[in-house]
Amino acid sequence: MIEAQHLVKRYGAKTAVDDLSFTVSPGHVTGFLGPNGAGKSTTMRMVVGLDRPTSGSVTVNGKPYAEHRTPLAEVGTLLEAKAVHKGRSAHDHLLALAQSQGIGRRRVAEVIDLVGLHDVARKRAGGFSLGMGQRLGIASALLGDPATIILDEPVNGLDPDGVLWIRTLLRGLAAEGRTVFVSSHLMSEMALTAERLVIVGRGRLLADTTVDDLISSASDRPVVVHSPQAGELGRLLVSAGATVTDVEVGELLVTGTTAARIGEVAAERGIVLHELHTERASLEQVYMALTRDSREYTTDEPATGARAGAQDGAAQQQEVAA
Amino acid sequence: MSTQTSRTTTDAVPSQREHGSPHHGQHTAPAGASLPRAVLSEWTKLRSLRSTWWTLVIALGLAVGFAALLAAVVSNPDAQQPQGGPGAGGLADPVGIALASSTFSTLVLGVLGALVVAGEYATGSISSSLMALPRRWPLVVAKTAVLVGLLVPFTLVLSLASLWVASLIYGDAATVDWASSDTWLAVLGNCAYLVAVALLGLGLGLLFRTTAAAITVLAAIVFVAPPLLGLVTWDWVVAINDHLPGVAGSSLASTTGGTLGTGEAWLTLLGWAAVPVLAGALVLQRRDA
Repeated sequence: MIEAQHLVKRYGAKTAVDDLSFTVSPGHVTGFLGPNGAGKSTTMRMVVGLDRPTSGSVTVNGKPYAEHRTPLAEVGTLLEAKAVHKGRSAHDHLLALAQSQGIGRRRVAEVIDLVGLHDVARKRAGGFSLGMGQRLGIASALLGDPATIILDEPVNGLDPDGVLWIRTLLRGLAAEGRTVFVSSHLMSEMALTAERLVIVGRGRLLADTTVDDLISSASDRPVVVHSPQAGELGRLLVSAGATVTDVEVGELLVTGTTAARIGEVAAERGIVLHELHTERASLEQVYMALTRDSREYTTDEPATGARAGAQDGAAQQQEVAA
Repeated sequence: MSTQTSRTTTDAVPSQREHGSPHHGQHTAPAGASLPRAVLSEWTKLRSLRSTWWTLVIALGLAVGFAALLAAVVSNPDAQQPQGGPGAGGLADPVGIALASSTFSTLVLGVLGALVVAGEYATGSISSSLMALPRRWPLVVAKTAVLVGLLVPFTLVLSLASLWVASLIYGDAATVDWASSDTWLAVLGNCAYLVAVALLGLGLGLLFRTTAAAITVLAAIVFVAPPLLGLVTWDWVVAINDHLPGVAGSSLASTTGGTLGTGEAWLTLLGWAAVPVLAGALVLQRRDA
């Protein structure tokens, strides 16, 4: 359980986190989503006491992080890849962490096996690949068998196997009743992993919701129409005030009206329809719309059609899976 | 793998959730963070780095090597000795000359001290350390304790080895009086000097957080400042120069005394060892990691 109340973090004139309040509850994977520079890492660092809030407070499992007697048994954290001395072996890194809390040697061996680093545990961590480093970070996070797990961009730079592994692991940890709080700037990744979402932009809370509610909140979902008389239907719909995009011959993407209305128009004129359905808004679109004003570096993208947006989303998902 | 199947898997998870328990393993609860455990943890960190052992090998090699060289030079009867050379009564301070060879090792051990902290900042492992010990000051106490615990016996070996090698090379030019308490006090003083410079390095590492800055300032204090300040004759500059760690160290690592009296020299070393570490601990406590 993580409870943030009115967290503020300022660096000089720049406000990184601005009056952020949210609760992350056990039993779910909660995605912490926002564009780069939205304050996600800063917030996570304040949760585990690395950075001090300018004002506001945050507790983990009911107490400020520093007041826990065995912090690693309460909260497991992966902040950045390879928060490990390059000259030290994975085993010795984990052993030193374990010894600081009175965690036994057996648990060290256990987490090494759990993340699949058994064969390289005695090698120096400086030679680890990004994926191995990330696995070691996960091992450190799980070392104290914590009830709360905080991971900052855990899939960044990982290969598809690694991404799938982390996704499965996180869902499993949440299923065991743990609090899992994981940040990402990729909606597509969160859509596959998280059930709940805390979305931030420019340090402010934009949404604290579930994935399902977020999708259904999307307005103006586009309607896909397949018709051999698409041209004629398109002209009729435009004159009725809808926005129509020709996707390809015989296929239209219509916004500004409903599937029912399109069906009625077609029936009145005796136009044949092969397909008529309302598209489910992609999370990516909803997310882009939500964070449009808060992205630090925006490209001057034209307002893309819904289908194009959906394809973007699919492309990003493929990117993650590729 | 298609997007669609993955969503389905996610949706399937909630049904299993009620059966899970918050802790999967059958572990006895960890005992909790404590100072002795922090010390054990820091010892594991220090011993598990090759650089630690290389640093010690280099420090020992330099000290013994220079002890042999200095002993050979001062005991060479053909050489012109401006002072302290083998005159009518032999060398005035053969112990001091032998231990002066440690000067070169101070920088090496100071670097070791700096690396204990700055190495963690350089690699990002400081965040792991601070999340394990979020109260922070126990981390400084543990690092200090482990460094002192390692270096007290090590510098004792280093000092005795330097002295022994020198005594073999002196031959007839001088003898080291192993029975004299002055000899042993000089050896202890030499150890204190070396440990103090290592702690100075640790303090500078805490204050500057980067290896380069910490080592630069360390080298400035130990090596660069003495000859430069020596050129200035203003009283307050002379006073500073007389209280640099090297001056205090050579005042103690001698059987004939030096610039500073014994008590003042010990206090000076204590100041160089403790003040930067304490200041560094305060800064660590207040600063974002």
